[in-house]
Amino acid sequence: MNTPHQFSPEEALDAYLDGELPVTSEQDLFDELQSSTELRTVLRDTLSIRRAVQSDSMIPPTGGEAALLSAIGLVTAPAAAAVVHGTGAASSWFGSNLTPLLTAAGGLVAGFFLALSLKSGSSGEPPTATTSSASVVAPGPAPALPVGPPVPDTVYAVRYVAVQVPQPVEAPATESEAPVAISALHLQQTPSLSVPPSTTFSTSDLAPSTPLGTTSALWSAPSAIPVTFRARALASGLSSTEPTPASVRDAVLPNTSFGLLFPISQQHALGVEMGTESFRQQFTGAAEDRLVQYTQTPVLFWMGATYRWTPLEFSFLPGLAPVLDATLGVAVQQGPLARASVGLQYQPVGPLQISVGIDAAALMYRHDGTWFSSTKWGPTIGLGFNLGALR
Amino acid sequence: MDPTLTMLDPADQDLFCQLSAGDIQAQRALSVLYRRYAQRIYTYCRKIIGDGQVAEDLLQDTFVKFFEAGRQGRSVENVPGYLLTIARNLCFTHQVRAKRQFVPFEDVHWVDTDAPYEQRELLQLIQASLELLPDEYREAFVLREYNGLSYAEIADVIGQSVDLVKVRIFRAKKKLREILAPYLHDLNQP
Repeated sequence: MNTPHQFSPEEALDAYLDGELPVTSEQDLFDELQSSTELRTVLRDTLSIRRAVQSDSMIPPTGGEAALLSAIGLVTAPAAAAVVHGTGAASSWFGSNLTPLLTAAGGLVAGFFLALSLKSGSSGEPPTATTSSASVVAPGPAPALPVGPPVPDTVYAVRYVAVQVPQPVEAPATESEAPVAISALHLQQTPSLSVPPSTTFSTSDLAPSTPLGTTSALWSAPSAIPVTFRARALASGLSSTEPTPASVRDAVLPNTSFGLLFPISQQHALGVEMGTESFRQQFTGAAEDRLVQYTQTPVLFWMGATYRWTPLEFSFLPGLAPVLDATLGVAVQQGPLARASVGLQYQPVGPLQISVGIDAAALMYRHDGTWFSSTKWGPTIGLGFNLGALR
Repeated sequence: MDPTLTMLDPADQDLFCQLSAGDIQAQRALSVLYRRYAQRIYTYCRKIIGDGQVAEDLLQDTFVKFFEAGRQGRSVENVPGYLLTIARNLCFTHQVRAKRQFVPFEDVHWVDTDAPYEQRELLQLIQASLELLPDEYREAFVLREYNGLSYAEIADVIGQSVDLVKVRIFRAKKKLREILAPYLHDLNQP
């Protein structure tokens, strides 16, 4: 059947590469290859495809063997059940989301230890110093203070205790620790106090030391939680020359995040953040006899842990300081997400904080067993409400 | 002959016969056969169906049916061919149930290898192009290129003549080359 004349040159070439060409036809093929540029191109193309295909290793799912044995009842061990893949919605969900969950958990644990190390390593603010500053602002017997143990509030306590310097009238001269503590705070706040703070912070809301000590529980409650509530407009990553995707257009608050930040030292804060955010994702597929590149920009919900560093030593204007944010989280049904922002934060008076900067984010997402990434960057603007500043 | 090697690498038919033995022996035999052929079956299912999760399910179903056949004491000469035949029938049944008019987002599959970028890109294009082939061409190409079967073995699995297999493989390759021509032209530029 396989006589030489039955093969066209291309057929003969394919058959030869598959080891199916009769030996008697080989010389004809070689001659044809020598004379035909077109056939040599076919050979190159075919070999390129073959090389690519042979590098494409399809690995069966891990745990497939245990799942099989479990399915046919040969193994009933819990270990086999644990690796059964795709036999139920729950196992499937865990199978596809375990890695992102572990990543997020790892981020939270890392953040926790970072917070611990920063707190223990902060030489400027040992717990005893905080206690002594509390005794300055609340001279006399302690029972009037509804807050039991000294709250490790730092940045905010420093700011408003220092404000009391121009009003030392009511400060008891007998308190020996007071001058020491205040002078120490002076050193930390030199640039801010070089301007007349008494004129800037002259409202009664600034809560001088005596009212703080005698105020009601209602007033002191919020100040006991020095948390900052923050909303941020995040980088969209969308080009201004392209139309906004419908998914982004229809979203309620695309590229927005909300967070709570808890200070762990003067310059460091740790918190949680969540938001909705668009990420551009590209895939290549096939439809109706054509290669198609799929591009989608889903708006994803994510949540994670946030760390904020405010290096006050670089503060060049009162209330203005550089700020760096780092967030590690997980986007629901997608994968881990990381972001970093650098910019300036301005907190002129009171609890309001405004920040602007550059935001960069990266999302890892998984499809069909393969991890992909999407990155973006752009401007960010944030608005914060510092409850601690109400003290 | 080294007796240890003989024990570690028993023949397919011997292992298949052991499936009808006691549970422990059957389990060991099935495990060896699974490790020996799971990748081949999984590759086939994955390339024919496209969806990784479905391919995993079909892989398991294939071996379950294979095991049941062994339990019944059926005689099988070509174990990998028999496995591929079961997988093929399961894939066909699945395709009939879920006949697709359009390749959904979830069915676009991806490449995860250490290959160079150009090769990975080409692989993605090949996989996408395979979707464009008629089912019978795609199957012949997968069995030949991914599973490494000879024309005669493919004919045995799909129950068709060798000549028909030959034609299908040739047309599949030709169609792939046509689809990928622009990319291959750039790739193979000196």
